[in-house]
This record gives sequence, C-alpha cells and structure tokens, in this order.
Amino acid sequence: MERGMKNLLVTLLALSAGITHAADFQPEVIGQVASVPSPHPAHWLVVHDLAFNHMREGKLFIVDPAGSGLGDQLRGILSADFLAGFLTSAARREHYVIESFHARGGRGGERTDVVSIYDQATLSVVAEVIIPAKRLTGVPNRFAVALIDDDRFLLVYNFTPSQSISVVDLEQRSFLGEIATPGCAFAIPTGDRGFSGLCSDGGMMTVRLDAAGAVADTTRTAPFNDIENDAMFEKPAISGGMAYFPTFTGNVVPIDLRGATPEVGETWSLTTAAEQAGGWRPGGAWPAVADDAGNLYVLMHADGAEGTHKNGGDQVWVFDAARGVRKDTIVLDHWGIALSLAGAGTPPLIVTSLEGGIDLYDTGSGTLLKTLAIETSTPLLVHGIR
Amino acid sequence: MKWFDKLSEKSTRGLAQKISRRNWLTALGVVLVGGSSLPLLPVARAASSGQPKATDVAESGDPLSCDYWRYCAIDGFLCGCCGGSVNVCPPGTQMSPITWIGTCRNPVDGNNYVISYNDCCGKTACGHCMCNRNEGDRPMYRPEKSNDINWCLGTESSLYHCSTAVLIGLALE
Repeated sequence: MERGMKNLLVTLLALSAGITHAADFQPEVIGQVASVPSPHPAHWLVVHDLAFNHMREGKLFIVDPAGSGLGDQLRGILSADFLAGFLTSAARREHYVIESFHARGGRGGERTDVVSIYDQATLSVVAEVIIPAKRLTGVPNRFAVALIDDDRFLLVYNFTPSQSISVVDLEQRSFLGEIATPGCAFAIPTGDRGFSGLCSDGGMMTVRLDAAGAVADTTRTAPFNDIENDAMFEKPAISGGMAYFPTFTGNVVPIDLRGATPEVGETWSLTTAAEQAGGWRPGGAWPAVADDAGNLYVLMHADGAEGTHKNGGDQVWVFDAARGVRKDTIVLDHWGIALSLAGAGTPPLIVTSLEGGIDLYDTGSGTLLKTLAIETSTPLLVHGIR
Repeated sequence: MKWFDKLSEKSTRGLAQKISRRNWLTALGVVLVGGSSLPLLPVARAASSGQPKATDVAESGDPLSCDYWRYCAIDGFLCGCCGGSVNVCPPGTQMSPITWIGTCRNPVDGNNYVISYNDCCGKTACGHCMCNRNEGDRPMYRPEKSNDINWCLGTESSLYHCSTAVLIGLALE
C-alpha cells in the first residue's frame, strides 16, 4: 500500500510538471535537413574512400578535422560511384564528382559517365553533365580530372584504350567536346588555360585551349623520362604551378607549368649515396605533396627495389623544393601509403595509413596530431578545399 | 620494425586469402613482407576443383596466394577465389580481350614467362583475395605495363570482377 502511494505521488508530480510547461512546449520540426558552410572552411577535408571491395559504392566524406569526435568531424557525404574522380571549387562553391553508372547496377548494362555537380552548402546535386562513357577507371589519380581557366573548364581523361580529354564548360553546364591525346595520359593544368599529359615515349604533350574551350595549339616535348629504368611517378606534387615528379629510384624531376609549355628543370636526388645503398626510395599511392611555403614532402621506405614503388613508407622526408635540400624527417607512427595536404597546400600533413586510417601530422614537430574518427576501407586520397 | 611484425603476423594467419574489410591495405602489407612464410601448395589445387588445367609448365606454389609466382605484377582480386581459376574467369563473367602484361620468373624451371593479367568483367567486384604486386609495373602513361587501370575494356560491361594470370609465352631476354 505504501508503495502504491509512492507511485501515485510520482505520477502526480510528473503530470503537474507537464502541465506547468505545456504552454512553453515547442514540438521539434519534422523534415529538417542540415547544411554546411559554403564555401567550406579552408581547413576542411574531403576524404575519398574508393571502397575497392564494393567499388560501385565509393564515398567522399566532408570532414572538419578540428572536430573532437565523429559527430563533430563528419559533416556530410557525397556518393562517388565506380572509381570516381573528384574536384572542388571554392570559387564556385561546388563539388564535382566524375562517376560512372551502369543501367543494371551490379549486372552492368549501359554505362553513363556523369559530372555530378554538388552545391557546397546543401551537398545536394544541382546539375549534371553527361560526358562520353570513356573516362579512365582504376586507382584514383589527382590528374585524371582537372579544373583550368579559373575553374571554368573541367577536364576528364579518357582511356578506352584510345586516349583523349573530355572538356566540360562549367558555366554553360555542357560537354564541349573531346580532344585526342594519342599516347599521352592525364590532364595536368598548365599555363592559364591549358593542360599537359605524360606520354608513353617519355615526353609531355601540352594543349592550350582558347576562350571557347577549343584547341588553340598543341606542343610536345622531346622525351626526357626514362620510363624503363627510372620512371617518373604519374603522381606529381604541385604547388604554385611548379610540379615535382618523384621517380621510382629516388630522383625528382621539377617541371615549371606556369608558362604556356612545360619547362623541364634539372633532376636532383632525394637521397645521398649512403641512403641509396640502404635502398631508400619514394613510394605509395600518392608519394609526394608540396606546400605553399616551398616544402616538398616525400613518403620514403628503405630496402627499395624493382616493384616497391607502391609500398609507401614509414618516414616522410621534407625538402626545400627549390634547392633540393633535405630539411627534416618525420617518422610516422603508422606506415603510410599516401600523402595529402589541406586547403591551398598547407599543413598539417595528411597521411593515409596502411591500417586504413587518416593521420594528421604537425609538420613542425613531426608529431601525430590525431587520426580521423571516420570509418573507411580504402581511403587513398584526401582533397583540400580550394 | 613494428609494421613488419604486424604484417608478418597477419600473413602467417593467411589473411591474404581471408580478406577483411581493410583487405586492400592488408594485402598490400602482405606484399610488403613477402610471402615466404606462406605454405607452398601444389598448383594442382586449382586443377582439382574441376577447372581447366593451368598449363603444362612445371610450377609450384599456391595460386590462391598473393606470393604465387605468376602474380609478380597483379593488382586485383584473384579469380581463383571467385569461382574461376588462375587462367579461367568465374561463371557468368567475360574475360577482357586487352590487358597489361608482366614478366615473372618461374622458380621451378628458372625461366621468365610473359603473363597476361586479363580481367574478368560484368559482375560487381569479387571482393576476395586482393593482391597487389608490382614487379615491372610502370605508371599509367605506359598502359600496357600498368596494373592500376581497370582493364574491363572491349567487354560488354566495364564492371571489374577479378583478375587472371594467363601464361602466354616465354620471355625473350
């Protein structure tokens, strides 16, 4: 009986509390959808999880790395179907996912290649441009797609295995046409309104566009890349129009891309004779990045040999890129397989680890700042907001 | 080094064959440490499952393991783990007519052989036995020697399912 009285009292108290606040009660609104700052803050990141095991379901994670946990860090997700490419434009406040859809999903069917255009505030698709279903699919490369002419033209590298570049006008939201690039791969921005490809003969091909997006002229360099003996990675570190191409055995080929045609500089070595003897070589899914302050960061491993060029490394060597002089060494906490930088080429240094995490390192002290809380499977490349 | 210990431990557990959700990176690790700790099984393992015999060339090793000699430049899911075999596509898929080639040394006879790594296409990714080895691999601007490309080209569908390693000839010096 005493217990029953107590329960009754609790019930009455609860009811009176409800009555007291009923007038103030505001029901929550159903149907709210979050948005994010546009353009995104410069320190935000876009982590591309290729999802290689189920590559029709890749993802791009929009991440605020300053957040303390998953809820603060993961701000939104873009779908990225079938080994997608990714570009972002702070000036246009848009993201571009270059992806492929098959009409019957996992059964195949007609393939449609699309540039999906996302608004940065809502992270929803605001337009799409259908392009020839020819784009290169494979391990992602930052220069399989490109933005040139102040982000007006978007370029997509095609491989069928015929090679060409699709040109998309982002102002008109239209596909302009295809430029044949026989023997040459990728679209590395060059000059004001051009791009360069790396060619199988060891040279480079450069195409300048006119204001309408048509070919103005095409030039080729003499071969300079010793592909059989010391190939340049197709993964340059670029900052301010200067590209630094590491080579398989540990050299760097600097190429000035600021002019109308590439100017190939003098090759220099990442290693001393003693380091070469120890087999120190660059490697990884993206082995080098360069920041705005002129630092070149290279992922290095010891005991290198033929075939180790994708192994990554346990150290990042920091060089004065212009002088080719080593300034610092960052010993990684976790074996790294790819490097990235935030924003317009600024630290922290972002390392995709062999364990599949995204590690952020302070470039001054070389210490691991944090590992992002997001869960990924094959997050090879991280993109900055720019 | 700690990564070596960690990955070596994984490889001896046969994780190259039992792919986890981080399989790609794990498999890369197995490549890093080399596969010498993995047991070598007779190639007849593939043939005994009713699949066409691989070749008359004398071989050793396990075609379901990343360290099998033919896989010196492979990058993808082993078709033997997906219903096919080292040189046969799984049922219901289509073999790509064009691809990249590698040159691998057969430890049994000491000869170098040309290996054609034809992809099998038309179904969603197999997701088993991811392997990545890169001997002789070159960047994607030298496509005939690049394993980073989805070679499901010239097929009805560009969907990548798995990779074979077909012996197509003796390599000339």
